[in-house]
Amino acid sequence: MRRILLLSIVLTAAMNAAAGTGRVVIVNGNLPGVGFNDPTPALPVGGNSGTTIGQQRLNVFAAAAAKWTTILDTDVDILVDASFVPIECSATDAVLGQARPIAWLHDFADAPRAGVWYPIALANKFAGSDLDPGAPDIFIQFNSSVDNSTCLGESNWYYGLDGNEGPHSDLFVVVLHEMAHGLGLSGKATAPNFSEGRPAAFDVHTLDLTAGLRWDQMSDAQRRVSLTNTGKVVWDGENVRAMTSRYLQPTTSLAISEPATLARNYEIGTASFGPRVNSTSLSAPIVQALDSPADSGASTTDGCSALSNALAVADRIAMVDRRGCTFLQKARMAQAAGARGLIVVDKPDPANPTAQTCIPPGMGVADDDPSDIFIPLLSITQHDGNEIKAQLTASVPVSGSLHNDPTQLAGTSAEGFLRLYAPCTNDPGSSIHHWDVVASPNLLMEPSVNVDLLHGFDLTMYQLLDIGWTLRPRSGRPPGSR
Amino acid sequence: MSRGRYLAIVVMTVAAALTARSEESADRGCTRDALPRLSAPARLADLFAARRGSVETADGVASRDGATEVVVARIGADGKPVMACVDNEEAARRFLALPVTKLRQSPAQDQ
Repeated sequence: MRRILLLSIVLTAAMNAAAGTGRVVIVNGNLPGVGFNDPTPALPVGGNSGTTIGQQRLNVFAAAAAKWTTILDTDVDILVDASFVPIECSATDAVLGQARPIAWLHDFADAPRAGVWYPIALANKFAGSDLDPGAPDIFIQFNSSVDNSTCLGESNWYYGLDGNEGPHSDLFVVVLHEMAHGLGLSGKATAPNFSEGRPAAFDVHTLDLTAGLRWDQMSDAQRRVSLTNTGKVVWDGENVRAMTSRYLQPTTSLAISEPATLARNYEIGTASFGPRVNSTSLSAPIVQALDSPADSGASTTDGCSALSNALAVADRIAMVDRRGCTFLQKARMAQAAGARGLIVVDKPDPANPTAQTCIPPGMGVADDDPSDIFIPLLSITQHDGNEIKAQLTASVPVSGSLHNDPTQLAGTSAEGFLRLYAPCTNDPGSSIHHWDVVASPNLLMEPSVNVDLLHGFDLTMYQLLDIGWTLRPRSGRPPGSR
Repeated sequence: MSRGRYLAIVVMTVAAALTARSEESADRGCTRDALPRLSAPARLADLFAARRGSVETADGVASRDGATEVVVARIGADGKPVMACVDNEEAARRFLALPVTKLRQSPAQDQ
């Protein structure tokens, strides 16, 4: 036993000795008196001991840099050219910040793949030396105006390090997210384009399951089609694939048992109120709920007012259309009619009526108290909803149940790959270079920096491993919590 | 490029920006010091302006043009900011113009 312990200590020491000495270093790009040097007094907040706004900003960046340093194994310092500057904004919307690798290289001496773009920080890591000595590797700029009441109203940057951002924007999480893009979790060009015909390191791990090809194997035309192949564009990387089960929870879906033509599992969106669908038992016939035309429109299928076919809905799963009123209102109407559950069928946004939706929406509640809701809510896409409606209209019984599938994780394809964000209505700029929003729990590299994110790297570090980064010894193990 | 040479270029760029007040003339990688002195805040379009140029490295020529990831935010129905990370101006403007209910990531508040 003592021998094993000694061997373990020796191995650990050897691994630590082999770790690279490179750090992530913040280069303060602001002039005196502004940005990181803003002398405006501030009270320490959430573990950030800075006493000026500038100090607090710098402390957040330094904390994010230190966190990246703990996992990235490189011999070369990664210089982050960072600054806070005023960027346009209004009381209701704003640009929070931007980031990018400062330069990209291909076919350098130690490049692991020929003809592939690598961000310079990663190229330096492969080379083992700074290919552009002293020059920054990542550019990050954030909007200092967010701290003004004229910008995003009373919502400011949150400079605490404890995740208690409340109504503000958690700078620490946004910096972690943006630095990951600067380290190579992005394309050199906006998807589906390549720069000078060459893929970036990210693109060679982008796999279209329908075509059976990675993006670097596809033509421009094929990639344009792939861009909106929802659920079938995935990350092809062994490290991410091996770790998904440590981070993601099983998928909950709507299982239709009859009629046979509809019998399969349907992807669902969930609600932030009512019982959790992954721990709720629900199995019953599905019934189209009908109501009187409400003030908000002439629809009789939006479930916004008392249901006129309450007897048919009672003890069954009610189905209504999205829009017309709040999700909470629909839930109350269905529950009052005795429904055991509620399905909300998504509809195109009125502002973009020709756009098909392909991802069932999440359902939230604003100011009202939803604690009276005891039936589960789920949403489905318009396409799936129309299939069910067609059967109901033809008087064909449809029965459904909530189904937890431990063999498929929320955010993965049936084949076990983690899905990339490829909405059928192309969302230019967000597509591909982020995880699909169906991942659950939420991940750092989804296109939205979600409010429920903890301050961890989750699968981000394994994605970095897949593109060629290595992790410092002992940092590769999954942390106990996200 | 040495650090001293890089800093010299940055200083020259700042001087040029102050003199000409021309944002377009500056290399995007060097505007960080110039922007705080501009009288008007940077515009959204500026962030996505095409960057050109290359830099000689110890191992070939590195390209400086490439996509920028931009985080945009709007206030949701609950008064909290809803964010999206995009890499072109069209996407940013679409996000800022969309009803918050379109967003999947933060559960829609209404219909």
